Amino acid sequence: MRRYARIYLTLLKINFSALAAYRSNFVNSMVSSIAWAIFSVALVVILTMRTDSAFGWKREEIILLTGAYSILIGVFHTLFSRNFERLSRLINFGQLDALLVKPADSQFLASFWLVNYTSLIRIPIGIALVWYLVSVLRVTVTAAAFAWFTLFLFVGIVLLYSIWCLVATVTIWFPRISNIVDLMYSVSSISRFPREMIARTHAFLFLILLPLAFIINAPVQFLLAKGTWIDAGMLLSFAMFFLLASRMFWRFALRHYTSAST
Amino acid sequence: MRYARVFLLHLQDALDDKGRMFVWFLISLINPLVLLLFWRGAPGVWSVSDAAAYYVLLVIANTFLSVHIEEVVAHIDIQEGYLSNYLVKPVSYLVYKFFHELPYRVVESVFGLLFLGMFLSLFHLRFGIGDAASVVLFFGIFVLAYGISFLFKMVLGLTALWTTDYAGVAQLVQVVIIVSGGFIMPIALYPPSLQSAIYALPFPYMFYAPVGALLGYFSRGELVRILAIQCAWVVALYALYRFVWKRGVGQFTAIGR
Repeated sequence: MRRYARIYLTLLKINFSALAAYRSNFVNSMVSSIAWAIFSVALVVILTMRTDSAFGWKREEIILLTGAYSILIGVFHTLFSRNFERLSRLINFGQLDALLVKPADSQFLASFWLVNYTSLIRIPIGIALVWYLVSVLRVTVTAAAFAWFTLFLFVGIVLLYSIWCLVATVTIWFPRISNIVDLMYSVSSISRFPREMIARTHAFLFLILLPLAFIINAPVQFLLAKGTWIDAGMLLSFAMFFLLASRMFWRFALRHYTSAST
Repeated sequence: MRYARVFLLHLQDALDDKGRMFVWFLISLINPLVLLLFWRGAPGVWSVSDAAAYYVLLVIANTFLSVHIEEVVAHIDIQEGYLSNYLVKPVSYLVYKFFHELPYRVVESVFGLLFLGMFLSLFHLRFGIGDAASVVLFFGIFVLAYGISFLFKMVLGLTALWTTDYAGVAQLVQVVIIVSGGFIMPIALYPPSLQSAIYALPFPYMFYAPVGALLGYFSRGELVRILAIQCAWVVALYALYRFVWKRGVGQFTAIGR
């Protein structure tokens, strides 16, 4: 555990050095992160311009979901999403070998190699939005509600990571469709809408999208003091199941990996 | 003849890449479907059937009209130096890239048309064009929409002649296109002040105008007006392309290509 902590600290330093060395990339990346952060809020504001509620959620509560989503996705994009894009490229060009021969767990290296510091900007934007909407809704946030919210956001990140990992691992069999990771950006954004929206889809679609329905909804329900133990239980169960599944699927997939003689 | 060969060469590439292109098509399908689900729970704004017709046609239009040539221009031609190959060839860079991109649009449109066929077999879709004049006007709007999309993306790609990493600008433009191209909801549902601002940009004429024309959102007079504005945008963007090309190529350097 300490060894992996030391490795991760080194990776953090290397990524920070790269950020400082390529300043124009930093500016461009920051512009991109801010643009998407503003867009995700603008989208919901525009959608709710002509309606006060949807699926039993008030307009402000739907925007609150987006604020919480911004915090979660800020952490996720900082830590993971660039690694999955890189993973699909490594597999497509047969360069995963370099990762596999290293004396550390391959899933750890594949998941944590890159750190996108510029995505951190989405976290304060999300926090500010959540703070503002909690005051507009006149919700008294207790220490317990805040603690549950933080805990379940963390569990939501674990669940989202596991789903992305499962999808990215498929590229070991189909290296040409490396853009399947780009599909996950759109799929992940479904989690910021009320989960009752997913409940009204076709049964097959509902089963596929069900885990996404809890990633943001459950933490926000607890922040608003409306959370139930079913919400918590479902989120925790999905997170544990998918984390285990992603680990087992990764190890299974590596047995089928063929490189391109790098 | 040479451009026909360029088209066929890249058509071969596009057909070879059909798996990836199908995934791109799925990506373009997800957001409109999510928005359609949202409208099911927000009644009173517009009917679910109207929303379904709008988003389905938007997805189809997007498969052809959403040009991605700027990525090739910025990353491969400019940043990797392959632009010098075109500078020494007796071809127009603009025309070459036009025939480079066209096969990918055609292949992706096939997925869109298959999806439309599937949708029409299950649901009824009412189009707003009935007479020959409306059909002609619609095709004119559609062709000009592609022209605006292509020229705009070429200009965007050429900005890489001045920046080492144009990705941030590209992402910002993408966000503006989503908001002003009608990808969230019909522009007619936006507040009037926002509509005025949006119609000052070329993006509603790229995507919203063709879809709106097909669904009968516009009167005959409005269709003619849209055509005229699209022509003006094509001329303006072509002039901008020529200006950017002349200024940019003068300072372009590449090594070993």
